[in-house]
Amino acid sequence: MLFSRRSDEYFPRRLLGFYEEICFFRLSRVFRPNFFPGLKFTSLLEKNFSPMPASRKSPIYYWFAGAFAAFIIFHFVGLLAPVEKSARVTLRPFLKLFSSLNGSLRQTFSPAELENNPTDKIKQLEEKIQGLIVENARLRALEQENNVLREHLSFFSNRAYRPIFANVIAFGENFVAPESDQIYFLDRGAKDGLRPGLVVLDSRGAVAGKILAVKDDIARVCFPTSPQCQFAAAGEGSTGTIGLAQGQLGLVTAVNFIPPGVALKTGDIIMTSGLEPGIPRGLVIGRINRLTSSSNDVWQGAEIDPLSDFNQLTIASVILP
Amino acid sequence: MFYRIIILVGLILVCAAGQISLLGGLPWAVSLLNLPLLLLLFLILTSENYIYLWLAWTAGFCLDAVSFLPFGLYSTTYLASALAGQVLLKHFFTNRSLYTFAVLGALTILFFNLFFFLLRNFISLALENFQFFLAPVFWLELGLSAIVNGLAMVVVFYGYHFFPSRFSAAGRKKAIF
Repeated sequence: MLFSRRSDEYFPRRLLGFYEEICFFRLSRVFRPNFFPGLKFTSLLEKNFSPMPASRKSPIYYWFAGAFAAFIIFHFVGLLAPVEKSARVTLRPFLKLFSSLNGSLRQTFSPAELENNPTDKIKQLEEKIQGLIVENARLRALEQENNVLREHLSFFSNRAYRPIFANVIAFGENFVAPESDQIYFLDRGAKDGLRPGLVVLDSRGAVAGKILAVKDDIARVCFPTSPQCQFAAAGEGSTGTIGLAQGQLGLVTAVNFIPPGVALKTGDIIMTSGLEPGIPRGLVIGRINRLTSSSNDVWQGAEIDPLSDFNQLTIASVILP
Repeated sequence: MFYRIIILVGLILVCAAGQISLLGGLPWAVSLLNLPLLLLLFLILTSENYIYLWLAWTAGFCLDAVSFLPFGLYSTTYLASALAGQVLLKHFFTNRSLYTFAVLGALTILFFNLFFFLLRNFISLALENFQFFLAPVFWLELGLSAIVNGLAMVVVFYGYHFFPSRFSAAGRKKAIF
């Protein structure tokens, strides 16, 4: 006989004891009753064998969990809307203050400022040129429109657009980088007549984005270099839509699906075509930086630099139809 | 006590507003800071009561009110991160030294980001794939199906009780299954 009667009885019990010891040593550190204060974690082993005392019940966590669940449900039912609105109203002064501080910080730490050389003058001149380009493009669009109107004497269009001015209160969506880098928020919303799809302009009148979503008193806008931003685009001389302008990687805006017959060159102005409802024709999106089509392509393509400067955007205007 | 609570609520509001408006778009690693969570961790490290939970909720609610992400995402994440910070402090750190502050901050931020991205992607996945849950037609048909099948069981019940056949008798003598 390999084991005596005594050892035969003792052996499995001893093994079980050893197993319990290992389990308690490991598990009791993880699942000890007050690991989460107030929550009782009882494993099967503890329930049957643990010599540890039962935890003191603390109902605060249960109350808290219940209140939180009610909070979420109340939001979806709509009961929380006044509280949310008052929270936004309370935060608004802070948001404006911090947003202006953010704007000055971004201008201070922008690459051009950091170089600290006589680029200031060049920058000012560039801004002036861009302003003139916008003005020129607007006049050309008006002239073209005038010509069309003269051609079609019977046609009469009275498109009065009403701008709404709004403060930029935040740049980027928190913790959702990198796709939200080119997103910003305005302090106007649905109650001011804003709705998704409307165009946003900067102080010079260049396209600075498109509204993606609105709440009562806040709007989420994409910058033209954001992939979420799309515009029906037109060239300077063209009468209709020539392609679709869409942001790429937060750096440039690409115009795709340009028919082969359209003649484009570097430096041409790309503007809104007026095809989309609520977006008038002739708003400057940017200037062609590079043509991307090859001889085999069915469609032409172009990369454009937006004329609007994301870093200097503090006040924007939304064009209401 | 009250003035302390008011100061803390004001501080968390300022932190939330700073997180929304001040840090976004700034260069370098400044935009990666998480001001409300830093304040919550400071409270967890320096006080023993549960006020950090309410403040976490407040901070999350402020961000939820302004954000266009699914409602409750920030609140849940801040609450979970505050709890995680508390658990880490209670069970894995012995004192409140410089290293505790630094490591606890790093671990909690790590937890925050992971939890946030997982929850956000889970919600968007659920919204994409379970749109039918939101459609009233789905619930209408579900309810109708339950009523129809319930009525069918009523028919089966009456058939079982009143149909004079061997099947019925066999059923009374012993269980069908």
